[in-house]
Amino acid sequence: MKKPLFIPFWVRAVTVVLVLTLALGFMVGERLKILTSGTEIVLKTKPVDPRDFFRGHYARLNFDISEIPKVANTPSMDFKRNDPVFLRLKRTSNGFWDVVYVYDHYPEQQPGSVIIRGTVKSTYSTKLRIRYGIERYFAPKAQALKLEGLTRKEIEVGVILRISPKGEAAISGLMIEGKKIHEEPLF
Amino acid sequence: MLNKSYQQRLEHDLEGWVKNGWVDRQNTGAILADAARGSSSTKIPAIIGILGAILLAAGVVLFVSANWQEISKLTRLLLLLAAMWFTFVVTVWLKRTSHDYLLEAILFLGAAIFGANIILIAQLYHIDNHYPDGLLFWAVGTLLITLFLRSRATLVLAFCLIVSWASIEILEFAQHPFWPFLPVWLIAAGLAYWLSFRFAIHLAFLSFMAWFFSSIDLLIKWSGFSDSETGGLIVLFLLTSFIYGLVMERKNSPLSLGFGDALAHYAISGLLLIVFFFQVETIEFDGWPATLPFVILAGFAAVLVLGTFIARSQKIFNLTDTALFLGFSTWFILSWFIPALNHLWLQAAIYLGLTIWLLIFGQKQYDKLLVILALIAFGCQVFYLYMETLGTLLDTSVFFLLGGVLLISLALGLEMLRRYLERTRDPQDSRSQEVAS
Repeated sequence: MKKPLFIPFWVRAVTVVLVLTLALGFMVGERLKILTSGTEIVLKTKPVDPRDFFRGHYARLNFDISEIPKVANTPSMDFKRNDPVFLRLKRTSNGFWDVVYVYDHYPEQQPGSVIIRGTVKSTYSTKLRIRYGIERYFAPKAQALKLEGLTRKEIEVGVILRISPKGEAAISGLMIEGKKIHEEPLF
Repeated sequence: MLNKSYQQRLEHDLEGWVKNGWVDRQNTGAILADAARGSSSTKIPAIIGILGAILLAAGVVLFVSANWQEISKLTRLLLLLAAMWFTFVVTVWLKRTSHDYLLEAILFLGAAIFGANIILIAQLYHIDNHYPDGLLFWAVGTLLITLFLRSRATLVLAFCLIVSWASIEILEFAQHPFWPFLPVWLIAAGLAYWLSFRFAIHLAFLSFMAWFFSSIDLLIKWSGFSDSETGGLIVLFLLTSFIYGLVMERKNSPLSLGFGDALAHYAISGLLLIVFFFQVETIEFDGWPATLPFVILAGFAAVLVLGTFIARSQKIFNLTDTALFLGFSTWFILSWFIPALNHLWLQAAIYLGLTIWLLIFGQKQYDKLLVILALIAFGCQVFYLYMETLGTLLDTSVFFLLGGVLLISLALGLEMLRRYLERTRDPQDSRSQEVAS
């Protein structure tokens, strides 16, 4: 009778921990790729400080493009919850980037604009609420509260993002009153 | 305490078995010593180890959530990766030094630190994508550890993660019927079977049931079946599971992994619950089943009948049990399609009949849990009838009086039958013993 294949425990242990490390490395690598080679844009936001059970304090970022008027920008589209959505953004005169059109597919690239990918969170008769996967800025409590305080004083807060060619966004820094106050280190 | 009482019972039983000549007196010491060796006390270090691993895992996650900015991103990443590698190095050392009792605890910790790494990366790079995906990623990693290192503790963790992931998707993101659950569940259930890990098989069964019942309304919509067709199918499925659970247990089939009795208990509990609740709820009758549901129902019914006859041939059921089981089955299936069968007293009498039969059958099979389930169902039904008929006291009292008299007569009849059978069987038994000697 054929003997079952015996692989020593240490070989199996090293293999599995290598696979897990590679998976985590891939997760980090994906972010690094966006942060190093993505197009830089700035979005206007209003942070609020709550707490995540696992990841600690964060400032919840409510971007101007988190809620967009449906009628103006989506004349013929019928979005449903959890549908993917693509927004063409262009730089405005105040330095922030804003939506010019909404698509249900990835559109053609045009010079001077970027495409950001989001997911429809909820739909209303006149507007869409969209998530981009960048709505949380994790920071120690004091920093998160400070960010929230700035919005109360009606100080303009901007989030610097990097956008990958596929439309994925990653936070790369913070801007207050037009000045870059924080740049996220890669490591 | 449990162990002590088991030891005492075993000592007492052994005394009887020695007297009957089934066990040699010189073997009793070895049997008792073996029972003592296999006691749960040997598992205590392993259990305490798992508790320690849970505390350590909580500490690691809290370290991540503190978001300590004095340490650079890279240092935090490397620290947690090193911690994960360290746990695996420790498991290799434990394996080589025969400290296997801590192996599961450290593997559990390794899987937990893998999750902490995911959380840390999401925090460091402000990733706020669909967050249940993180749980799925963690569950997949944990399943890999289970597969590579045959760890039971990580399989339990994987089931917890899979259930959490599916619950969030269903409850928070209204993703149902949540089909992605099924392939992941299948892998986890397959691993539970491969490891012959009964506890995980229970978890697999319960998690599947939770998914099924949480999505039942949408599954009905998705299938296009009417309420009656779905109800009939569920009842048939539970009855079939019950009968095959009994058969698997009796045949000691390698497929059952000793899970046959659990399957039978889960199925009968489900059946008792569903039949009970649908007499309380008003059923919308949708007429006879359409072609496709009818074919499925007929197929299931054929499997059920076959299972019943296997149970008869295995001597699990006697002729009365076979007739009663098929009778109850027919009634409970047809009552989804024939409104006239849904008369309160008729349904109540049939339901009580089922509980009494289960009680007697459970007693014959030495199945305490089945007896308890039947008793609970009986009690609930009597209470329901009492509440339902409050105000028509005369009818209620007549029902209970008659029912009480019937049951006491039944008890008397059964005891007389048992004594008669014993009297007629004893001489045969003693004769066969003489021949054997």
